[in-house]
Amino acid sequence: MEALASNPQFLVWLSAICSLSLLAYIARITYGYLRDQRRKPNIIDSINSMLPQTQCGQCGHPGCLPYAEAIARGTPFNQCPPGGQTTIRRLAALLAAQPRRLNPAHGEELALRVAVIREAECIGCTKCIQACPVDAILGGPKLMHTIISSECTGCDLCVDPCPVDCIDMLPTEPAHQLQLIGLSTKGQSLPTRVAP
Amino acid sequence: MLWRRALKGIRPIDATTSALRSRIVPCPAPDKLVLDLKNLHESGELIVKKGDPVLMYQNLTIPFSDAAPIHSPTSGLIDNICTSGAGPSQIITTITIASDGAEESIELCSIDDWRQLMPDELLQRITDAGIRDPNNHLETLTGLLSELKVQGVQHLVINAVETDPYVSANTALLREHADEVVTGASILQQACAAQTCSIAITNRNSAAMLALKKATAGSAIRIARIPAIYPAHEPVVLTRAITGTRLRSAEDALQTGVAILDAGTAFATKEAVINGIPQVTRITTLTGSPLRTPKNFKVCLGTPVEFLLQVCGLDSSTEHTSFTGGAMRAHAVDASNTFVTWDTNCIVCKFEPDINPQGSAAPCIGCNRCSDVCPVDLFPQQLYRVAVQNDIVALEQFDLDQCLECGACDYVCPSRISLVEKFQSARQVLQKQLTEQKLAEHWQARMRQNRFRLEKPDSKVNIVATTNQHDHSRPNTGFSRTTAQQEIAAAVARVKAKRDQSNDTKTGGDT
Repeated sequence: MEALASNPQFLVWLSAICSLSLLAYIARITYGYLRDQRRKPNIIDSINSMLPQTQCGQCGHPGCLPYAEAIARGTPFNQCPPGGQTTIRRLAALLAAQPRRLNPAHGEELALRVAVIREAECIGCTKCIQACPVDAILGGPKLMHTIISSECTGCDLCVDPCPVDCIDMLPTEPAHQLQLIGLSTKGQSLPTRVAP
Repeated sequence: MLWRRALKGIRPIDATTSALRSRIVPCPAPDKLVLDLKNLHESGELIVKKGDPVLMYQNLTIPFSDAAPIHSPTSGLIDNICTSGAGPSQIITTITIASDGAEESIELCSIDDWRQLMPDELLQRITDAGIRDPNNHLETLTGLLSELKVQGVQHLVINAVETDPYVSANTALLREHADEVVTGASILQQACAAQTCSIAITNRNSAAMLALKKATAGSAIRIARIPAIYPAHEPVVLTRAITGTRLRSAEDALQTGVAILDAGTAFATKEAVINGIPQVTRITTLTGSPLRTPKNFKVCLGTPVEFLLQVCGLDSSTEHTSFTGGAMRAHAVDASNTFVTWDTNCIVCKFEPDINPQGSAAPCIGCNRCSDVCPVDLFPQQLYRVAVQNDIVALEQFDLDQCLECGACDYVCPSRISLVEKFQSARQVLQKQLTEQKLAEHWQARMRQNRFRLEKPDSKVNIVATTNQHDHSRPNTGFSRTTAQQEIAAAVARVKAKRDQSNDTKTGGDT
């Protein structure tokens, strides 16, 4: 044994094996950590996927993704009227927080609506086209505009800029909208659960 | 046989004997027929108006492409046509026909030998008759047959298994019209080019079985005996009973090469192809203790349920309720405001005290009887637990989408829990959430495209780059009516002030 221990070649081999296995161990740990990092869903994306994506800005942020980022920074999550109480409940579960009532300062929860232009009254000012966050309005300068109702999110943003008030918000059903787009919920599965 | 062990379900008491005592009775025509047509505008154009005289079997619509037309079930006058909408996707057109009792029909074109018809001609005759199959609500029969032919169906099953312990419409049909059903089955087999065809019938229908045996003697059509359990009529369960394959949904049946059509459809096909009679009647079972003479009726579509109950000798001295769909999947209906449609195969009337009081459900004791009877091998008690918790992901993991809502679990539950009701509401929640999610995904994609368009360097409306430091934020047009008005007012004030000033200087210069 002593002979072995005093053999310099043995020591070299021993240290080589030790350092190699240590390296392998560190590599394994790093790889696992990186993989977990990659697999772990981004909290902003998780929040964003729970928001209704109407891009209406009623929360005080210019769209759903900015609001998701704001929630991740600590802004209250009860400012989304289109999502309503359902979204609040789901966000509360995700953020492990107590569900709250919808903040009435940001509006009230309404059923889905679509904008419809009274085309006879449209003067073709293109203000609504610039305001639409999803490019759902068709038309040109001094030409009549119309709304592609299958793409409308019912965000209300086009109503305010209209100088002649020719845009109405009419109620609709989500299933009907989906049919218009040409998508069907049949055979689709829900996303996997996101751990809080 | 193997499938005897594989099939699961319940064996409720047979409640068909009283209705089967009499033959199928053609129902006398009522004074008024009401046809409720869903989304008529999608399938065809109405060609009659209020006040028009119509003959029996006359076309009321011109169908678009290969949709099924609507026929008048009797002769008389169009009393009223009104439309009501239950939402943008569902518009109901109600046509009321005042019958004149003459039952004068249009000239029918009957043929002698259907085997000499060309395939196109055969399909055209089926299309013109407006036949609908209860198993395939969405498609017309012709569309379905063509699709089956394209997909290369091997086995055609004519489903004569009763849909409920109370229903005896298929049994009565086979008992009296077995020959017609067999002919109809051969026509359907030729139309969809299936290799084999069999008629599925419950083991215990002895009179119907005898008639069917006599009718199929010497023909290529076979009889498939299905054990008398509920819900063996479901396409998923029936396919399993016949082929031994487990399916996830009824739509998958085609992949195993099996197509299932109703016995009533086969009968209507025979009537349509050989006699040229469109489908304006159907066989409906009327049964229940308040009826003095329960029987199977051949009723015109659109007959009021109340009228049928009166014909059956309704004992109206005691409180009673009518249900469509039988006992297991009963839908309570208002008899005066409900009319026979092409999928009404049963009307059950019950005295008020006989109707099972739902009562207060006791907690689940975990007896597992529901799992023992579930025909599609689900675990209803587990599903119930997650449905109460509204755990949508778990609901999907436990295959809620496979549930047939047959009510077998309700029937055996010792705690009287209404499981199916819970599953139905859970399904709605699931559906709603899926819909919203799909919409959200679509909108998000649209928003990204909008952003991409605005951020393009050669974009003419490159507002984002100049006005917003935020990458994802939408262009802030900064428009609001109040600020605009303020700005205008301020500008007007500025101009005024300037003018005043210049006037002052002018006058000052003069003096």
